[in-house]
Amino acid sequence: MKLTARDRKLVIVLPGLALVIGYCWLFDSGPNGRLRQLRQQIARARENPPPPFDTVQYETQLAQATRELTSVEAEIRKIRKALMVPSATSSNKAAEQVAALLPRHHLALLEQAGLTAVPKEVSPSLLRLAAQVSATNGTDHAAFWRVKFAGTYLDTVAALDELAAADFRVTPACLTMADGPTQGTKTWTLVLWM
Amino acid sequence: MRLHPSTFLRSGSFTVLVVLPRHLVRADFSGQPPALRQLWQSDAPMGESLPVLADAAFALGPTRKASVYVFATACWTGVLPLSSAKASTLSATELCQALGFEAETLSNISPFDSLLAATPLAGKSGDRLFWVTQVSRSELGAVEDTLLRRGARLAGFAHPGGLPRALSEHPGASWSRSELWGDSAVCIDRSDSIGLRLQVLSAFGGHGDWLNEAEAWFATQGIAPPHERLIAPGVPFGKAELAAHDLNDAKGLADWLTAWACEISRKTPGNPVLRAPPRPMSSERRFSLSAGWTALAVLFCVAHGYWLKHTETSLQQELARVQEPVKRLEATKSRARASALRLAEAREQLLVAQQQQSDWEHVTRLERRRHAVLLHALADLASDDFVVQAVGESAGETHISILAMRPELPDFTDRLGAAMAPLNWHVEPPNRQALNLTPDGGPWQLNWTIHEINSAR
Repeated sequence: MKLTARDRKLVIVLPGLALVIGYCWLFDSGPNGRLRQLRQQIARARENPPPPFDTVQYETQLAQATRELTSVEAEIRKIRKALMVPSATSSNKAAEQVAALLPRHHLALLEQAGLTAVPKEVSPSLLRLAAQVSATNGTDHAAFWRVKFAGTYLDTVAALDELAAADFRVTPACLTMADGPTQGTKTWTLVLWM
Repeated sequence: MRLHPSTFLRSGSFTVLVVLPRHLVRADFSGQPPALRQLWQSDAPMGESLPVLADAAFALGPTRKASVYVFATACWTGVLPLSSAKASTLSATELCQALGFEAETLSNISPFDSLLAATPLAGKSGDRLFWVTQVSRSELGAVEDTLLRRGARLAGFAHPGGLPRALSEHPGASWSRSELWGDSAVCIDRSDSIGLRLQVLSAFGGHGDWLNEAEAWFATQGIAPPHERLIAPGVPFGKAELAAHDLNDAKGLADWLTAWACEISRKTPGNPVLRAPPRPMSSERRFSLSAGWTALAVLFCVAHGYWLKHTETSLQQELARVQEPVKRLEATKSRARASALRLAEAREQLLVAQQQQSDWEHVTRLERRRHAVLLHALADLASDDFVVQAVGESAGETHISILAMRPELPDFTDRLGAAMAPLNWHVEPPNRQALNLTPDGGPWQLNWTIHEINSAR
């Protein structure tokens, strides 16, 4: 086959031309499609801008909800703190105060010991409270103490009256009375939640 | 667009070679208008061909990569008539071909193996005269090859005779000149009214005959003297006083060459100048060009690829910027919804905590007083009919054990119940057990159970 001068000129540019065509065929369509898609997305986004009022409204709602949430959470923390299980220190202090209270009412302390479990004799309401407090504070048990003392009926009543009005945290949970060591006295066992 | 050599010459430097049978001249020009930079001349070696002489002329000066104009008497030049009717119907190429056939008998050069250039002259009505220069294609190709080997490029080839410019000052625009170029002479005339007229004389007799023939032609054409006279370099001339422009003189030669340089620097020179036909490209050059085009294509593809990538990145950034308010709104909406949910949960937790607190306070308030109230009530109910034996508690219930003389204690249960009711405790009727220590069955063991009202028994 004889090549004309024009053919020879074409042959010179043919590899470059083929390269450009191949590039356009293989690599150009994908990016161009993406560019077209991006331009359409930009146009759509520009056509439909969000109403400024919506943004302000939702931001106001968010700020208000955040403020209220902070306030409510603070209130919850405050309540939970009030419902906390007494610490070992405050429980021991209460026990000391109980031990000091009994002699003032002529009652002889026989035994005072902390309990490792909630006694079964406790009333259902207290049991429920103890369970709630334990759940709230994440502890196994509330602080219960058993106090055994001896004394007359009336002195015990007076002591219980003082305990009911005490300014430290103490709640009589169970009370048992049995005959005392001497005539006219009784042996008392008091379970205290403190 | 094809670049005409004269365009190149107008803007750059070039070399003029004058190749005569007995004399060689090389002149380098530069600038616009062209100025003669250097001039070399020497005698020509005898019996050498045109390419060898051209090479020798170029070698007079240093090697220079420039365009070269060759003026040589080795080519044929003459004036040929052609009927106006015929000439007007032909294209430029066809006109050259027609003139080639006309010239063959005079030049002995085959029109099929020659290159021909023609310039129209003023002539009689009915005929058109053409100033023709013709050279063998192979000879021109050889000259071109010779120059190429020296790194130069053949820009044009012409006969040195017939410079279409005046060499002397003339009172008007008209002038005429006769030139002697060895075995030929050229008579040339220009006037404003008629234009350029030219005649090439050849095969004249001895010395001085050409002058008579020239004068005769001038007379025939009605051209009045004075006429310029030019003698080519290396051509002996007996009557030196008749030659106003002797090119054997260095200054005269320089002026003449400068005039030619100015003429060929024009876009359309006034004389026929042969241009070498474009040569077919060599394989190496074709390969180089192809590689160059391919490299350009690669460069284009890479640049386009980078451009696409850059544009895509820019558009993505633009899209992110444009969508930012929408995304911010969505995020704010989402956070507002989440906060509202958390607030609702927190409110429920607060409610539960408040209930727990209320329950705590209520229960502890009651429980703290319960045992004191119980003992107070038992003390209030005390009589000689019974004695409280024991108080105990089990499984959330309080048990009171009483030893009584009678099986019934009127109002005891009601009054004890009334005392305990405000504390949400209920007193159950007693269990009775006769101890049968007396005839009536007494004494009696009475057991009360007290429990929380809401507690399941």
